[in-house]
Amino acid sequence: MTANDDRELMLHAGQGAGGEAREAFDTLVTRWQGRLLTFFVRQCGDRELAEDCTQEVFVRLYKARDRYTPDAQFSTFLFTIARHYWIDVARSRAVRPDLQRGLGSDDQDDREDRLSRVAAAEPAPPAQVVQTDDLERMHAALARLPEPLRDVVRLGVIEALPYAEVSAILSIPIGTVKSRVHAAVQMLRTLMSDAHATGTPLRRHEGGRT
Amino acid sequence: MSGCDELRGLLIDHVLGQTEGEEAARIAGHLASCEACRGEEAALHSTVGMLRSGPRALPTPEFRKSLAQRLDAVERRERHVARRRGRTAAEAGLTLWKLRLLRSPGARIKVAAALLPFVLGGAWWVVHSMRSAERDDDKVIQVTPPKDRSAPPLVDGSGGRGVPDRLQPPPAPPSGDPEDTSSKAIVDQLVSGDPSPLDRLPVPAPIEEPKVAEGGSSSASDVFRQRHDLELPRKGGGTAPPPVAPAPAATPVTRALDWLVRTQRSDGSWAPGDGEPGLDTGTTALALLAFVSENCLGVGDVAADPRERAAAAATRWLFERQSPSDGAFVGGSDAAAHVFCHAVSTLALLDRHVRLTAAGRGATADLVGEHDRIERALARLEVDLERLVRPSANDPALARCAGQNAAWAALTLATARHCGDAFHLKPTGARLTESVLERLRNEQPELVVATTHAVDAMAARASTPSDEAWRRAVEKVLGDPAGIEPSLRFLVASALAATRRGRVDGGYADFERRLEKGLGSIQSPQAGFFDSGRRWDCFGGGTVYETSLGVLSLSVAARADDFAAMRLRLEKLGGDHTARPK
Repeated sequence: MTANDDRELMLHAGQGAGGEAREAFDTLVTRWQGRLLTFFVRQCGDRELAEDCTQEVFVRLYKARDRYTPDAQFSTFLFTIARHYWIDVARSRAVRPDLQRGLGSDDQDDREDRLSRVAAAEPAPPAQVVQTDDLERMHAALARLPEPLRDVVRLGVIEALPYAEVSAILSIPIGTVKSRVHAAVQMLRTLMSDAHATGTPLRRHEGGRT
Repeated sequence: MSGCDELRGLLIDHVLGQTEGEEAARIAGHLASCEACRGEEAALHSTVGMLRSGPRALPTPEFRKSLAQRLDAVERRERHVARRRGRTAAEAGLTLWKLRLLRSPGARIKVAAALLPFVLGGAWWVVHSMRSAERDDDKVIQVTPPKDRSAPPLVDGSGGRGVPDRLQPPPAPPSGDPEDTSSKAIVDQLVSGDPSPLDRLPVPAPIEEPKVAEGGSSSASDVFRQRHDLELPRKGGGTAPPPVAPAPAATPVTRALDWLVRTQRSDGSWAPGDGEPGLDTGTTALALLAFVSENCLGVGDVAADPRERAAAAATRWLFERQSPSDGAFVGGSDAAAHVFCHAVSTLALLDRHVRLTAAGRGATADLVGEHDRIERALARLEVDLERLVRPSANDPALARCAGQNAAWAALTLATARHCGDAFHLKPTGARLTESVLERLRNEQPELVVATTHAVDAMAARASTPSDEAWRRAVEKVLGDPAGIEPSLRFLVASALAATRRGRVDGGYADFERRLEKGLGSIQSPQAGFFDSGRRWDCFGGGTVYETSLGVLSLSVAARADDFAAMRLRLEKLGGDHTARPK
């Protein structure tokens, strides 16, 4: 399950269609589908849209399989496609506000409702259940970050990708990744702290964890 | 403490596991001795933990199943492309013209037995007719009654640019044209029983139509088809094209197409004329669709055949309208018109593309590039359809003609989904279509029911049995084929062709005769265009609009056959590659 395995699987998949090549790709899908789906659910808060996005990324990946070269981590390749695709989706949703099922233009109640539905639909350890309020607060804070900072948080913090990979995916220097991570974390903590102080965005919050 | 100040900037990197070697050791050493920094580290851990602790989404089995289907489609597509690229023009022997042979009596029976003909054809018809259906349901139809319904047949030598002076659509109340079976009886036949796709029925013997020369009792559609086969130069073939010269005896369809040729602008487009201003893209797309449905695909002898030339120029013009950024075919003056222009353009180019693909014309047309462009357009259309779930809530302009737009979008997408070619569509698209139609059911019941019938027919699944809305839609078309909104007429005819044609009860044949007669009454005997003299709310109509939909209404049955044959052909091509090696 190492990165090298992923690269080899991808190379294998790129050597044909069906048969072993397809099995190699299916293995990659099995390995990465949950993470990718979660990535998109976090982006949009909409399970159905996230599944569509995840499928589309795998389809695009499959279409591009013969062009894959192992000079980068597989995850870099995958998240680059995913991010570009999400940018397309977000743009089209920005043009069409009616499609903003999960992003910022929604009113807060809708968003919270959706998040709780997503959370309810997924098995989560008890520790996460009790954190729901903070979790939603954190989502709200994350949504308020400038997009460049959100990007590094999603990839470098949430997805725990190495800075070098984040740098490659976002096409920015590693130093910029670092400084953005620092700035983003500071801003998140400030926003969280403000939210605690004012009781927003969740009115039922009763005080907190951290 | 300067040590703290220096290291705190690295703490987040440390927490994220992004430090290593000497740096990591230095930080660890400092933390061991500095409680304040340990507190900061704990806070950072908490923040990071919270960011990472959201719900983990787990894919469902349906997700994997659907993805597997899409990957299968990618592989099929790749093999199609590989095959096309490896094929020479000479090898691309199965021309559309030859495909027509599949409609010979024997082959047709087999096709009908395979159920697909009607299904596919129906889809296309439906797409076109949906548009009109919405208008009808909007009650737009009653907006402007014909000026003089009892007037003599239109005589118009103006080239059809203006509103015809008079028209004589038969008033034909549902009760009756004395020459024909009573309307009520026909409607009863048409809406009774199970309107499921014909593939579910025993193949009826009467589908074996007689030759044109023999006259006989075949249905009106058979007569039309035979006439077209005789008189229309069928392009699309490489090896043995039929004679180029137009047939000496013009049919209603050829005369209408020739009028379109004459009124096409030099850049390849058509003006909306009396229709909605700014709707050039949608108008041109419908006109192209009329040519395409007569297999004028713009790849034949463009120099010698004006219809081929017109189709080629319109295709080029439409592709030039496609936005490189989002794949939309740009046109219209508001959101509703945008959707309309995009939907019908996608349909026209998709129809043409599928016909070319089935005919193996990869060597003479850039089908690979076109396929990608159409796929992008389809993706965009899915977005448009999604917007129509809640049109008024988001963009007030979208609520205008929402039903008609939904119908065109739904039919286009269903066509792409079921045509046998490999287009990548969202797995949730079919469900989305259903929800959009359901939302519109109360507002535009006739449009929705006709669309639903058509989509179901394309998907080769049983449709909801007759209901009041369906009966009303059929009655409207049957009662006054010339006075009904053209796209509703087309939609109903398509759905009927997909589900009723070939039935032994004969209701459909009567329907076609009525349709032919009614359209004949609004066709300019000299210029060739169709015009009811009415104008419709949605997108205005106009002479080009009515003429295009007139052609489409008259070629519903032939389209059904064409698409059945093409689907079989494409599935056969795909089938060669579908089996995955071990």
